Amino acid sequence: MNRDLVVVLLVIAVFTVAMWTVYGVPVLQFLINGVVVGSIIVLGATGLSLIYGIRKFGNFAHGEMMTFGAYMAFLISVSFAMNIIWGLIFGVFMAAMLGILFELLVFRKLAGRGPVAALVASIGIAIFMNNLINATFGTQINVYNLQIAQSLVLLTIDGRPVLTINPIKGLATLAVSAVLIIFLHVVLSRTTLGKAMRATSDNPDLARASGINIRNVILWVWAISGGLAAVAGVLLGIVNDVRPAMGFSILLFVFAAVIIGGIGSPYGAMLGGLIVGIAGELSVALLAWLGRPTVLGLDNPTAYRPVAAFVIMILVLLLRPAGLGGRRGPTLRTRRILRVPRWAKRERAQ
Amino acid sequence: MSPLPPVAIDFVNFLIPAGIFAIIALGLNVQWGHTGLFNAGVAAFIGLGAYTAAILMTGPAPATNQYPGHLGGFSWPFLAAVIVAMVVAGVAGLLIALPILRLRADYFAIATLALAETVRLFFTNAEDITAGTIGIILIPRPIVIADPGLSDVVMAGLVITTLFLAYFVIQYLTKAPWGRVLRGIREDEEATLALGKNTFRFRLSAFVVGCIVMGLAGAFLAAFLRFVTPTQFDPLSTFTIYVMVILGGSGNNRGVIFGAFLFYAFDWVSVRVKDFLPASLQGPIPYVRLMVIGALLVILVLYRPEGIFREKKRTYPPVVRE
Repeated sequence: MNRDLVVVLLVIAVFTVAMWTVYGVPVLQFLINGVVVGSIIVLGATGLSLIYGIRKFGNFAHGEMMTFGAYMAFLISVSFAMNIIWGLIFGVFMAAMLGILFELLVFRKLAGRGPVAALVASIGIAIFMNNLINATFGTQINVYNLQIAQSLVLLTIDGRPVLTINPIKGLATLAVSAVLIIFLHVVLSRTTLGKAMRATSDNPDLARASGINIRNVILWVWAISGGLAAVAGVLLGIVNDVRPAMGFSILLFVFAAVIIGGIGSPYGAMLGGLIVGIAGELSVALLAWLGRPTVLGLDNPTAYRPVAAFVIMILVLLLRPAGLGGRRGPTLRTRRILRVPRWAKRERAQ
Repeated sequence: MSPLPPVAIDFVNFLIPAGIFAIIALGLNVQWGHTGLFNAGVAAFIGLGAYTAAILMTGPAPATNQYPGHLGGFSWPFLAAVIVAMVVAGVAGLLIALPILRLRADYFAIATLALAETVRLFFTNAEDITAGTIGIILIPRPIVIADPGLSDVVMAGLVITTLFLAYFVIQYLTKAPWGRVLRGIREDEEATLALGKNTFRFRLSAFVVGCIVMGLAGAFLAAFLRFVTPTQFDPLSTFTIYVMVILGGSGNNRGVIFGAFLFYAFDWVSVRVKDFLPASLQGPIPYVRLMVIGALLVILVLYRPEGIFREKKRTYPPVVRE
């Protein structure tokens, strides 16, 4: 446990206690919601972070991978009227293929052209994918063919349910996220592929010199990232609904989670996702309480939910540029020491 | 009945938005083309300019219970509204840039995108000021003439004059030593720093100049469309401007103006072509149009990152290293 983490947890704890004095026990409901939303963001963020680590650019098409996965599952679940589990499997497979396709068609050609060229290309892909989905599936809001069970009541006060959690929207989501995170941890720490992934992320030249086929490793990373994105998309589709804008609307939260956790660090991204989810819900609690001044539309407490995540992200970028779990920093100042001078690079290329 | 033939009206209605986009592209070119700042929040600055101008220029809101009303009723003249819009966009650019300008390009992009979304949330939710999702309506033209066709022609003249003015100012600035330092920062910030330039201050001034130009264009956009809503300033509109700049040639001021006009011509045609298609094909046309935008962005980055008009190489005899 490092100090930053303790500070963050303390802030969340103090905040919860402060809100407790306002709301009483129901504030825990915000925490439960936050953890559920956070666990979905975690799945998106770990995949994005893996790509960031190995390809060194922010993939704006990641949100579209989620949407794509969700729609593939929708195809199986509604059009073919099969169980959503099959839809999930199909979505994961298709999104993994999509990730590999991105790498083969676009990003492999952009390797070595700096972070911005790939970022612009990923924005182009995001616009393309989003409108492909718009054109094929339509812009209407869909739901999966799925029976949502009654919410479980965890606590009642005076006969009114105070704390509830839905077995499918809440518990199943948490369980799927937890299983996948454990799976990812096992892959990263126990398998040859995971070691190769970490090695390639740390130093691609050294990894190649030690006999790792980094092209294949990168393809695997895209497949894993796409698969995780698809699961996140399907879970998001279950918790909310399936619509073309779903991926892009959660993308900034996913980026916030990645940055809070430290770029390229999947474990940091897990932490960041939970922080983003909880902070968003707690900010709703805060705004609902502050809601008297109606000037800025604060009387609608969920309106400004994204801002909490953005504020934390920018604070982390300014105060702890390396994130709460990463090592490499994004500011120019830290890069300056590590950078190879231009003339040296040119000589090496010749 | 307007004295102008319909073709002229069509042409004028092409010229105004294309000119406005060209002004925005010029502003973005200062930030991205010359300095290498990836501002993903262009839409927010256009929006700030547009909303400021809209609030200042509109008369009292219509007293119906369908329209919620907004801050306003000032009925300022266009020129004054434009100046305030530029100031608001510039100050917002300064405030946003001060904390995050130190970040590397991709982080800067994410941070500006997040801030732009925050600004859009404000447009959507601060209903007392911006009339929420309905937006501000009944914005007058810059010079109010009874005949709508003629007032469009006057506006087109105004936009094109402003475009030329903006072009000359930005061309002058970027040819001057100031612009040379900006390109130095883009190519190698450490080297520029080593030459004794305060690169942070140069980056900041480039960012603010770009934002002021975007605010100016935003005011024109409000006066052209005659209404503003939050959805006009979504991230997609930012990336559309990027397509224009990259298509024309980042770093080449004349190139980006050409890029804006070319791109808007494509947009114009793709909207018109819908009328000539059978009804079964009309539905997906807007999405196909956007798919082309996305694909164009990828193809440009892959195969022609310098755009149609390459930036003019200003080379000096190289220092020979033994």
